[in-house]
Amino acid sequence: MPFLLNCTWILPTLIALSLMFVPKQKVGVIRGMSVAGVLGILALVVSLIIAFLAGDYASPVGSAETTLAFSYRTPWFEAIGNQFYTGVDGFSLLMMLMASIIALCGVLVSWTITDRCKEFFILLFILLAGTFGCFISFDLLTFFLFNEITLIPTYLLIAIFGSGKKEFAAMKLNLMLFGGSALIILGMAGTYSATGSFDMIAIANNQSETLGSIAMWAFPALFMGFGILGSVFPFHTWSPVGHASAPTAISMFLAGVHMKLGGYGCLRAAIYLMPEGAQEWMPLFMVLATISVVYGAFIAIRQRDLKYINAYASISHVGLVTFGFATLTAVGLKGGVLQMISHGFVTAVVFALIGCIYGRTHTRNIDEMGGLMKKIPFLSVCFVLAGFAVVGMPGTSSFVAELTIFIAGFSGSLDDTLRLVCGALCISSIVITAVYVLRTVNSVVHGPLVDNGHEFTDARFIEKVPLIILLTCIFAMGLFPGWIIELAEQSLTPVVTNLGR
Amino acid sequence: MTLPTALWTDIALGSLACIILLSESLLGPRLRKAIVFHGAWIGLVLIGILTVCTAPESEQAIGNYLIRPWTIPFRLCFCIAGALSVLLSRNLLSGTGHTHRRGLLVSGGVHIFLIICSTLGMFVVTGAQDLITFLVGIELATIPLYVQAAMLRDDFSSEASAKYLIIGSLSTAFTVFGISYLYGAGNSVHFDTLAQTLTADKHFAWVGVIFVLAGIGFKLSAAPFHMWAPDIYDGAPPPVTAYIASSSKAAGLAGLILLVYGPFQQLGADLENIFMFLAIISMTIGNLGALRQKRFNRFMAWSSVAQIGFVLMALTGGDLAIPSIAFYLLVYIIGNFIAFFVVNCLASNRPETFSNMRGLSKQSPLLALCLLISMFSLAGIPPLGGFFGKFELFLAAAQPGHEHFYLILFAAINAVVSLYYYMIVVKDIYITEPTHADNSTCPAIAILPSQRLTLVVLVIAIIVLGVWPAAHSWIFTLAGS
Repeated sequence: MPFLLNCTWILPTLIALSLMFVPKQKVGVIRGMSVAGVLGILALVVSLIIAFLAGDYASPVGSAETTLAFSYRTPWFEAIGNQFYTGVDGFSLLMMLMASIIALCGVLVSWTITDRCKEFFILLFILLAGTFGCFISFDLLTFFLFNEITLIPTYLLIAIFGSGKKEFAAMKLNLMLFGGSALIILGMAGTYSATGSFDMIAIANNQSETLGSIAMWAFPALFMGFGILGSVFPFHTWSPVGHASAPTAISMFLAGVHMKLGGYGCLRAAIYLMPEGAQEWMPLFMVLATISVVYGAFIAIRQRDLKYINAYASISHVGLVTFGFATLTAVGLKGGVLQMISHGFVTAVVFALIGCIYGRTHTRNIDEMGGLMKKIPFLSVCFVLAGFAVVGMPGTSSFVAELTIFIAGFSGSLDDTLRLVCGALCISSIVITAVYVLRTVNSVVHGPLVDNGHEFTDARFIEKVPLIILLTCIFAMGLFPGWIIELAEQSLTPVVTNLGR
Repeated sequence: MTLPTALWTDIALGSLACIILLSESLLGPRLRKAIVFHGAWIGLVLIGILTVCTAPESEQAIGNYLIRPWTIPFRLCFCIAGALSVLLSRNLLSGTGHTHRRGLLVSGGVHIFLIICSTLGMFVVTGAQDLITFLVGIELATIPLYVQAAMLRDDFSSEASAKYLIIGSLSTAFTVFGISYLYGAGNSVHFDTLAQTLTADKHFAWVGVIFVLAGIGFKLSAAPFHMWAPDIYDGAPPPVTAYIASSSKAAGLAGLILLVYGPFQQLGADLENIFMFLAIISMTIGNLGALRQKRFNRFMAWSSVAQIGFVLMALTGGDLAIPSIAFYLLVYIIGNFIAFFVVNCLASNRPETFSNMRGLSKQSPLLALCLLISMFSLAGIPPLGGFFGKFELFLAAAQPGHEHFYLILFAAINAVVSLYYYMIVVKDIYITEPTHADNSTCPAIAILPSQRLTLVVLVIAIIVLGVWPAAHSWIFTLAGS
């Protein structure tokens, strides 16, 4: 099993390598290999989940030990205390499941790419390899290494295949994310100085004075470093331009999965490793998260470009993840994890739909659209359903996740005024979300059909498949969230126990 | 008296130099072509292998000449850089039927002989046990480069040589002046004695330290002693530029480490502050300079100033400093040579400006990919060797007892700035479409088979160094103690 686990990043690497040897004219072969690749990853992840559920890997309540499934460790660059240490818990598995589904949909959405198609898929698979490597690494340095690997393909994918101000957007995105890496390096240097190791579980269980005092400044460095990737205010500005300029599949993957690496890192590499630092600094990050939530939603109201609307909505919704984490309670962390998964699906389906609609209208400006329901009912219905999911209607995954987060804002002691105020502000964001979603849906789907609308054709089969998969996931998670919540809860036990020490 | 095994490499290197010079002057033209070029690079590679094989477990001395285990990775770096530099000269050698925009080298054989001489000088630096040997080694390593810089017949080459000669002599003067003060303060030129007698409270000693550091600073092109670098990188023949950029830096660093952990070892925290200052201004000035460059070689000069800043940061640290610098240099040399190989291929028929590199990914995907990998390795992107190389420099400055966290933050932000200009290069070769004016001056790119092979080997090497820890642990076992 440990080998199968590592195959989640080895397989995409191999596909990327073998794609290099396919002649670029053979688009069919390239597409076939890509789909086979992502299906292979999905099959791997599903089989891992089945094996995980069959085995007994849950951490007992109150335990501080993280029980890793399928763990494998071998010395790597051992002279500096680095080892190649991989394993999974429920949290990582859920993220991997989401990532592999979105990757599959992303490849299907990219079916129409013909220009430099080979490079596109090579870069996409390098991005996938880095992402999956991140999710299974339990060595801080290896984790960081995989995280860095994801950044360069992002630059090339946006700058070569994007639209609009693509070169500016790609450069801005990359420099800001590498700025985050600079903070992460600082935090890692701090932990290394205190512990001489990068083993995450060992660092988390290290209660020495040195680490405690270093955590006071290393925690904000690590949290903000990953927070930039999770577009926490005031370092969110890369994400609207970046996501709006990227090609559809990359927008889906960036907003759906890659941004979540930020949240994943915040939880795994910051809160879990340095609970003392977390207790000290969380009020600040709670305020920043609340600003992200409300500010993102307000900005989305004023946007005219569909991609920008969704990008700002993403900032708002990912802000909720940070807010959930910032409560530092079991419920809040769980809500954050659920929101990461839910938002991954929701934002991916919205970006996929925007791609499909843009392919017909050739504009993303909502003022120049209208009446699409009359001509392309399938896409329009999907758009309305996706709109429901963004707002967080009961029955969609966002409802489950956001409700948990809001509960966390008000559970426990009522003396914590800051938390109550921030919680109330976050809840108010639902109303603001409803404003921009309803307005957008209304002006795109309803009203008189635009002039050139009679030539529009409804979604082809290859376009329908990813939309149906993603919407199914959203509603499945909304209606049957039980096992997901359970998995998340179990894997968060050690984090919560550590927070209480 | 038995000869220490580790000394074989130095002797072999000296013999190789003699063989090359003799075959250049005695053999007929046909045999000469083969022996001088192939003999030199194969010889240097073999000496590199010999260096690894004869790596001593502990220090081996013969008279005042001491071979220390930690210098072995540096010696390997010198051999690699020497061999690559010879290979890089291929399309500038006369009699091989190649042409180059800037003409051919005046005398290929002498050029190759001087590369080996310079490498020998670097070996001597790493073996020095007193200040005199040290100075002789540095001069032997540098003086051949003044000559080599003038090996092309154009004005740029002569200008570069003259500048290098003047600046180099100035730096030597600094070093000699500093050494005289060290002798005055420590009553000896021997490193072991100086290590006892040079203490931080001797103001006299500090004058010597500062001047010697300034002299070495010129060799390293660390700011504020960097002003010569862009002109000389741009004017010198490509293989010489690459050699100055890699081996010469490595030798300077080996010398610096030798002094810091030898005669200067009692100076402690104050010395760390000097390195911190040099590191901060080097990386800042280097980065700012590199941002606006239009010509590739000048760009590489400024980026090397910044890179030296990162290396000097590691010198503020503890026992990770030597091995991390050694590993970094290995990676840095390979990364640098990939870039210079690519640019040398381009430069054979066009000026090496960024605008001439636009659309390179379409003209030659291999060269574009190699340059991309080189730039990312220099920027420190995984899974390339540069990532661990650079990361360890950060870790060295975070070791217990040497915690320079502000320096680390500053350096990490500088690393992001440096990423920007490396990505600009990538943008030019992959994304920016060439304008008509760029295109019309771009004839087809000719890559020699030997250079293509070298490029592929180097690219594989840099990826392997980044993912396979064998070389890394070898360096750490040798240099870690």
